[in-house]
Amino acid sequence: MRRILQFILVLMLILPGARAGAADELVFWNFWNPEFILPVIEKFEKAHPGVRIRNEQINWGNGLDKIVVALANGMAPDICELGSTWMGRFSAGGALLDLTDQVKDLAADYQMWEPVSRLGRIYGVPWLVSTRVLFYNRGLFKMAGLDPARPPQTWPELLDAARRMHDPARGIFGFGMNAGEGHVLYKKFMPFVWGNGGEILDKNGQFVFDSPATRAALEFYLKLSQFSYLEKQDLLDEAFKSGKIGLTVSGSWNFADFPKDAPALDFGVALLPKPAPDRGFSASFLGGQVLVLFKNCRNPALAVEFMRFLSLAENTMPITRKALVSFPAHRAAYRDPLFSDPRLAVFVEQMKTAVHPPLHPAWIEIEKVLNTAIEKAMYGTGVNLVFAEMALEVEQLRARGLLPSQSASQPPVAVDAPALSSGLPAVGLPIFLLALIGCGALLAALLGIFAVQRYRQPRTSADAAGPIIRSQRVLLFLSPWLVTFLVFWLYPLAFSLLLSLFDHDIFRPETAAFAGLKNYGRLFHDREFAQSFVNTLLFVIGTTPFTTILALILALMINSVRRGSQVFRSIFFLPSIVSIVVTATIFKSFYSPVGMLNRLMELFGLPGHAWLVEKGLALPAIMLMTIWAWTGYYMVLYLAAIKAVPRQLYEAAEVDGADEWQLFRYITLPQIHYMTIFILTVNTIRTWQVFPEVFTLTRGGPVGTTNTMVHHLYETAFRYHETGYASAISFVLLAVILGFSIVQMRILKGARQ
Amino acid sequence: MKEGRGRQLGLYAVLAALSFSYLYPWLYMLVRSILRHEPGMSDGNGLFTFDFYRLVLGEAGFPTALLNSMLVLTVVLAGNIIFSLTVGYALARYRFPLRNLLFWTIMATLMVPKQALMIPMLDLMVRLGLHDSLWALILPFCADGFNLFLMKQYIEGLPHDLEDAARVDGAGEAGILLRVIAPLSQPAIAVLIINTAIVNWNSFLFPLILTDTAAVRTLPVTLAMFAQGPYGTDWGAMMAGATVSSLPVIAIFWYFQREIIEGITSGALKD
Repeated sequence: MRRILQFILVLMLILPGARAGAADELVFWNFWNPEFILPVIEKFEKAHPGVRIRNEQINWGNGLDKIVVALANGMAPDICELGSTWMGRFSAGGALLDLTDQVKDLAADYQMWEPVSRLGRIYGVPWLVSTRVLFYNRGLFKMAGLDPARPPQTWPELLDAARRMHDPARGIFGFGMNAGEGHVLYKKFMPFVWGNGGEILDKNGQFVFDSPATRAALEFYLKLSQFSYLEKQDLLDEAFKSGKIGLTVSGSWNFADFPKDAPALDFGVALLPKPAPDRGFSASFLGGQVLVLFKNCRNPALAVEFMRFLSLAENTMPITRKALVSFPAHRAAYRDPLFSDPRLAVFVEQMKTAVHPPLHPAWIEIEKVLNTAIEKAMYGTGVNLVFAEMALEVEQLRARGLLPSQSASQPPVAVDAPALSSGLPAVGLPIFLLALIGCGALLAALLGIFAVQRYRQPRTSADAAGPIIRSQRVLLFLSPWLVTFLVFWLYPLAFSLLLSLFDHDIFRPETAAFAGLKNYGRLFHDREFAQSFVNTLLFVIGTTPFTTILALILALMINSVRRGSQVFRSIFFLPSIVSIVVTATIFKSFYSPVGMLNRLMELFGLPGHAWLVEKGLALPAIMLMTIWAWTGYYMVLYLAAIKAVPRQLYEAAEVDGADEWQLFRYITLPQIHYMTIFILTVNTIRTWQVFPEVFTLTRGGPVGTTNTMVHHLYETAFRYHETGYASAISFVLLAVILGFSIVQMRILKGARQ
Repeated sequence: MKEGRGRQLGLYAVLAALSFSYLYPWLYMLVRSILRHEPGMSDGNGLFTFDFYRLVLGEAGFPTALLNSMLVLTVVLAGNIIFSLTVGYALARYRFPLRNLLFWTIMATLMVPKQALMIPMLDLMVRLGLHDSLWALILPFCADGFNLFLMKQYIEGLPHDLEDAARVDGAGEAGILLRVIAPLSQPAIAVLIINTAIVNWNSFLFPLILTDTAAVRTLPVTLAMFAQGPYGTDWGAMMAGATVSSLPVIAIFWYFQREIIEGITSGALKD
């Protein structure tokens, strides 16, 4: 054993961990189809002989996770594309190169400099810009007696138009309002606040969201929601496309889809309405993509040259033309004939008055406060209570040093203040060494537990029926597996355990500060964690027993069918083969307000629901999908076990005159008991860790009712970048599952006798 | 079995009704992958098209991804069968120092959410020099805890008689494992193969984190790269890709169905 460990240690210490590659090779991470990017790279390489730009595509769904993980490991690319709203955190975090001197001459030629600037320094180059406008269905306007040539220009007109078109009985809705998507809500709501003169942060960084302007906007928004179809953005776009929604706020990507999918759709676009003809302005949400260099960039001079080249109008227009998602930040692009299209011109016009959300190191936390408040108000909490609760959350952010206290009036300091607040000095040890120590500590702890258990229970052979061989040599026999297992699973496990004891800043992985049990202590005050625990427990109790029992019943049924059992088996097994993303997509449309489920309900004269958007229904809806998707898999396991029961046992019992129930109770059930243990254990572990279902269907919403523990962990690590705290959550989950499983196995083992 | 006709009919009725609900998504996937537009939309160009398949199969990187996925799956399957049989047998039939500890450590790796291991896993692979290579997608998953647990449970449920007989006949431990346990465990091995195939074939998170270049990307990651746009998904392409990538797993399932279902223990004990 010791020798094996020694071997691993030596092995790991001698192996290098540096990124290989030539000095004039640069790695570029971006979100776009390589089709758009590779021609530009080729052009650049031709102009710079000997230079190589390696294009590596990351995907929209998980790109940020990948960047975070790479940053934490010092493996960030040389050049990277980032969403502009992430820039507050990134530029304050110290992970980006200061490019002020290299790019400040571009200032006049490009728009959207706010996201890449911080305290007078520039940390990137604006690349692409996008905004949202009001889409309206001319056909529905006509039908409701509205002038299809005159879209609403003010709030009262908007409300009136929505009210007149709204006719849910006919499946027509006045306005398409985003709901059930926690992270998108503020983008849809803020234009009303901004247009009304409200703000999130003032010039001094003070949180000033709660103002008469905001309250008026919220009240208007809630009124509008009465004539709205509440759904997620992609389903809103789809509903608008199929002519079910009169008005909605959306982006230019629709121009690529609408003519292709619904050429008959008669729609127009307009600037977002302003509060009143004589007051406020037409605000919208401004966002985009920027190019940055990370600190570990191997050739900043060359990288800057490439960024400047890539962001030129001529090199960016191909993306705009093809994807129609965002427009170049380079002003020269707007001379392109593409923008003479009147609908696109509306976007260009809207961009002039669109507002970018504030750039703040703690923006992601602030965004969460906003989203929570807006969501609560939309789900019926009184406006006064919403703002009172928001004030408490803001107070917490102030206490954590993320927002300036009310008396202070300087701009906020860097975000790493809380990382050092434990009072202990930063250790600065390489994280790898710490992980090795962690490995040792974990092994020692487990050995200790084991020794105590051994001491308390003198060895008995009670659990061993049959010939049991005592051997030490078997360990040698197991060593290839043992090495693989220890290296690839125990090391990450120990590493993660160690992370949970540290304040780990992904932007500066080398300055992890020891925090002791602080991260675990914090769990007790984390209301979201408590909620996620309850949600997960409900989920486990609401799925595992049903899946298991249904799987057993199905297996028994298929087992007694005379012909065609193979066909049924395959059919029930299908969902486990199909990727969960596909299953979730199908269920998303199944559960939508105009989906299959509601049509079925209608058939029985029952009222319809927005299953994934209503507070009490979302979690059960996910449970139902999980039961549906996994029953077939466990059924096959049960079938395998049932078929393996020796036939002569049944024959003998039948001779003794046992009836069918007795055969099942006294032969089948005990004979497949090992499978029941396996299924229950595995199923329980899986359901405690439920994640992709939640991630694809609800992202934890509405108002946190489907936020499960792993989803909470995921958000903590990859959205809020608190990797240490996320690790603490995962070990609490580990403890919960371990306890659950041990009890479960004890009970099941007992049940056998 | 001596059940009546009526009962059989009843069983068929229930199973058929359930089958419909289980077939629906599959049909949806197939239909959506050849529909030119979203259901209910039309531009007069005809309802169906194979464009999405052409797009998926023609997409640069897709054949590479298919090859990578198959390579990874094959090696992972072989590794899992060997490891799970030997270790499962040892855990089920042997008593050795640290056995319980080992068992619960295996279980613990299952109980930690994989999301928590993403950062350490990349660190490890970078250190071992395996980052951005197929080895990073193979080695950790050869020692899969679920399969081990399955084999241990299965072997514990096997009768001892045959092993005893083999031992009396003078067979060594390796011989017993190879000639007695392995054949008896065929149903469990078949389950293991299907289990591993499903999980490994659809695995997304670790391949995304552990590889950067298109040359070592697996199918799900490649699919996500071109089907997921900034503001939504190209569902036609996504469904075509999902259909194409589901086929190998379905083939494996059909092939091993008989293995799973035909209990070999019963035959072996019959004499």
